[in-house]
Amino acid sequence: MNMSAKFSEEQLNAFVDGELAAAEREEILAASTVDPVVAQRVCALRASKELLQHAYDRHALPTPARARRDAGWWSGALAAGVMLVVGIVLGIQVQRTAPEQTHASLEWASNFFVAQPQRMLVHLDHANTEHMEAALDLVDAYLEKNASAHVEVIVNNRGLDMLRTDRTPFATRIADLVLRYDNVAFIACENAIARFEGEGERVAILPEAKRMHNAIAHIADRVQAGWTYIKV
Amino acid sequence: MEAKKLFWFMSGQRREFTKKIEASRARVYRVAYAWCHDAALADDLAQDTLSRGLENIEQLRDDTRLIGWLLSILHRCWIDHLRTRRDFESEEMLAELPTDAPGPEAHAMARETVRRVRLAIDALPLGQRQVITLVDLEELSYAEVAEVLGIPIGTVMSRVCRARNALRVLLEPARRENQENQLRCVK
Repeated sequence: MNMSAKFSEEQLNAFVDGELAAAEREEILAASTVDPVVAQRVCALRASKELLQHAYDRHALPTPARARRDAGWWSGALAAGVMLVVGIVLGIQVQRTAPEQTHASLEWASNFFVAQPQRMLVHLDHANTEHMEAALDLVDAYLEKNASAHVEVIVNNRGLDMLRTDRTPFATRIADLVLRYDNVAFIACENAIARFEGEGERVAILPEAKRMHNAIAHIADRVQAGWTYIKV
Repeated sequence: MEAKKLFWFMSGQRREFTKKIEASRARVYRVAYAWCHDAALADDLAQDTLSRGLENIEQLRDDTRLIGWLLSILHRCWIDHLRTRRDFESEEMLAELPTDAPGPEAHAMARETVRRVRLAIDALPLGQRQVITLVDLEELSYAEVAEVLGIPIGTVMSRVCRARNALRVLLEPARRENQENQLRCVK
């Protein structure tokens, strides 16, 4: 089943950058469901992309001096620029959460139940109830097959809603999972909490949830340590 | 269309383009910052780019291509800046220029992921750094990157590969350090 050698570095990079035509894309997607080496190479490239985006997150950039100096004149333009970036990010999120993709990654995940070491990281970065439910179904199914597996569900951005007491529809289900299994953790990103609080929201997190300073950094570490990473 | 109407149409479109160019400052600044890692310089580059853009606004026919057009101006501003700073023969040589190795201060800062990644980006040859930031941050297609930087698409592809390979290698020590920390925690 080793198909890894079949795909060149160029092809896999083009795959994660969305540059391939449908046929070739599907071929790689199919290969990644049966060949852990292909899956891992794709995962590592995706992680690289996410790390880079994280490193230049607009919140983390130093403020340009000129914008501060000419705030009166430029603030409107800057705000518009920021809105543009927000719009683009939202656009990307929407693209990323296309249902067929979720479906593909769930299918992809199920192939790991047997083959992979028993460590799985599930990532949610948007507030979609169906995707939350899919993530919980996945965790349930996974733990049912391997009660000793280590599973983490990590949420950032609007995915945080899944762990907010006043917003999650799944409080009981999450509490129940944590009660039944010692080795499952639900993790909220503190950066996201701080950001929403900075925007004036009151953020209350489920008592079962843990907190982690930076979700993306944690994901990168887990992926590099060989965890199976699934984004829903 | 009669001349007067045409004039109004043109000036309305011009105003709109001007507004859009000004609104792109944050995006241009972010890319400039990813290339040079110097807030003041990135700010100047963004300012130069926007003013050159406004001066040459007639070149812009279609505002869906605005950001690519601005980024290609940014690329020229950046090259001009480097020309004044360094002696080099050609743009190809420039693209392959190694960057200065990070000093001890940089290593001390390197704890945080953000800084680690920025250090790694900083260590990439300029050409790779430009390509990978345009692909990953601005999410431009390979064809758009080729157009912005004025290089063949094959070069874009090979630079993407080389940049990601190099990043993996550069981030490797950090990963090991991290794992050791985790082991220590377990003990």
